[in-house]
Amino acid sequence: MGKYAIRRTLLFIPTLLVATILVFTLFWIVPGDPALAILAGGEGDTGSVSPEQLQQLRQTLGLDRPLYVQYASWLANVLHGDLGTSLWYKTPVWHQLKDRFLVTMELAVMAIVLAVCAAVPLGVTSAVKQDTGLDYLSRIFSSIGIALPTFWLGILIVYFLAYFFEWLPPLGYATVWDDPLLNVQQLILPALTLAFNDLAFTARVTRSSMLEVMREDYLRTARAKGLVELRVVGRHALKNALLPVLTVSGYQFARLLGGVIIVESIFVVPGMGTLLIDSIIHRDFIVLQAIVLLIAAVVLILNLMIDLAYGVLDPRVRYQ
Amino acid sequence: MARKQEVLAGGETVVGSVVPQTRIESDAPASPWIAVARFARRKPLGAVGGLIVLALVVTALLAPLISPYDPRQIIREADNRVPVYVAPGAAYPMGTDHVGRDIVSRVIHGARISLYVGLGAVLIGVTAWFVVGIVSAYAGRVVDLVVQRVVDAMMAVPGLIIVLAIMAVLGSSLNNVIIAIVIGMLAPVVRTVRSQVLSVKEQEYVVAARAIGARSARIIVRHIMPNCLAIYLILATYYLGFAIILEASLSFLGVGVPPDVPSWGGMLTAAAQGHITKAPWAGIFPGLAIFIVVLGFNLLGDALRDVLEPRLRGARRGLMR
Repeated sequence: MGKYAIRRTLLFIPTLLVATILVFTLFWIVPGDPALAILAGGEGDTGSVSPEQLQQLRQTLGLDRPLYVQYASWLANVLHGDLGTSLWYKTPVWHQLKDRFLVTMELAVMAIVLAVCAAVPLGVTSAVKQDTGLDYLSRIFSSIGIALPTFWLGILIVYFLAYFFEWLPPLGYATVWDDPLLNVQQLILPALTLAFNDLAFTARVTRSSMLEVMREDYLRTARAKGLVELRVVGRHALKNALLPVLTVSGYQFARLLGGVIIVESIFVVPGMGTLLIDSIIHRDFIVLQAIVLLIAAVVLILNLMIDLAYGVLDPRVRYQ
Repeated sequence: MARKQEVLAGGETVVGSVVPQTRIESDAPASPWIAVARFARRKPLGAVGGLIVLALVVTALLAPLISPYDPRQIIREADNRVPVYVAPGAAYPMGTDHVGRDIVSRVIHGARISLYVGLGAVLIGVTAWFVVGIVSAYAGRVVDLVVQRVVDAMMAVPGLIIVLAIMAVLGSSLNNVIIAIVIGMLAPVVRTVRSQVLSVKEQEYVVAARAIGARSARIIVRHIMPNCLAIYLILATYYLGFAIILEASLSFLGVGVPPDVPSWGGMLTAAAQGHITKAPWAGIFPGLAIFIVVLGFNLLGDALRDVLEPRLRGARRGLMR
């Protein structure tokens, strides 16, 4: 296990480094000059920019130094927890980010918990009752769930709640510490919207993984020695079938973080998603960089943890 | 989708089903129509998907002929009033939007935008990353190692966020949306193609070709590529739907195509800002169009995958939104 853990962790470091390089280069594919793009604003009005302004901004951003020096100093700052200063708000990015980061994570975790809690029973039922009406129903449901655009689903949920129950989701935001009830009220709808799409995927993976396990010899043995069906499915099959579900859930979480942006903007949740959209509108590349990097780091660390957990749960992967 | 147990060309069976090869289908269908009919019989849901896709293409081609109004035109009625948020009726089958444009015309023209972005992104993206995936897997060693680290790093960022970041840098325009989506599909496409090539590479015919002294370029073009064509077709189908949903998401968030362009996603922006209770039709029809079209591509893709390359089951997990 020790060897496997070390190998897997060593693989994580170069990947994270490549991610920082990609995020850093993102800044550099701005057509022309990032400083010019920032000064020109969203409309690309370059006429009103004076050379002095441009020179000054280049100096503050350190754009006059060689590229590798810029990257090294940026990386060093990031490693010290300094994500830079927002170009638009003129405050340290971390100030903007830290509360919003927690909000987004809370929303994402709520969504994935909801999704997994619904998807696993759905997938298992579908596999156990394979090719029955119930199976078809749940497969149609998951096909629909995958094709439904998150933003449309969000809009529809708001509409139907308003129409049938004359209830609108509360605006504004309270943290879970200030007002737990209000917090859940505010986040439950966005979380459900997010979960729906995720649920469809996870149910599919659970179903196919379960079908595979159901044909294993040890399941026949379990039945042959007279175990109750519930125990066969619950203990012997499900335990093994859930391993692939665990693996994909890491990438599912990444997908979900993409959906968060959309859902936050529909339900006006003050998370990272709304900040990301803001930073795009204001061309605040420093904030943008920080958000992308933070998300990449979270997902990579999560995947590392999942792979390590996998090594514990399924000893076979340690020897690959 | 409808039937789980399909017997494949190679005699392998889908996820654990243990059915002997009972039906041998002739490799050369008499005519393409018969092939289509056979596909429709085996995969009814796939055929439904195909019809939806066909309907999208026809709508996009005939858009100027069948739409009652100019999609960008703000309508002025006889008494010089602008019909803002008029409910669906005889005059406007899907109603009008918040500035007084005909929604049905915008939905019809939206088919063009969706298809343009989808085809553009898939032709450029899937093709380019297909080649990268093949080269990475075939070359192995340093090339593969570098490509794989880039893929891993990009897999860690949700597709939508990659695309949004690229849009922030490039600025909003129709063609920039295509470029952004192409970059967004890099990681999953390269990964899927690479794993396919890794198994094709070890096949005896490839080893044999190398043994008689064929050069790498020849092996790739003559032996590996033809054996990855099925996967190309399947990926292209899925990613058409994926690109359409991404474009809609971008335009919905206001960073995709400019607002006057009739994009289905862009049409939903006003609905999300609280207008949905005032004018539900403006929020329902464009979303329904996205949903049906994406469902169509997914159903078609599922059926193609089951028929052509069942080993890929579950490969769609890699898709991001």
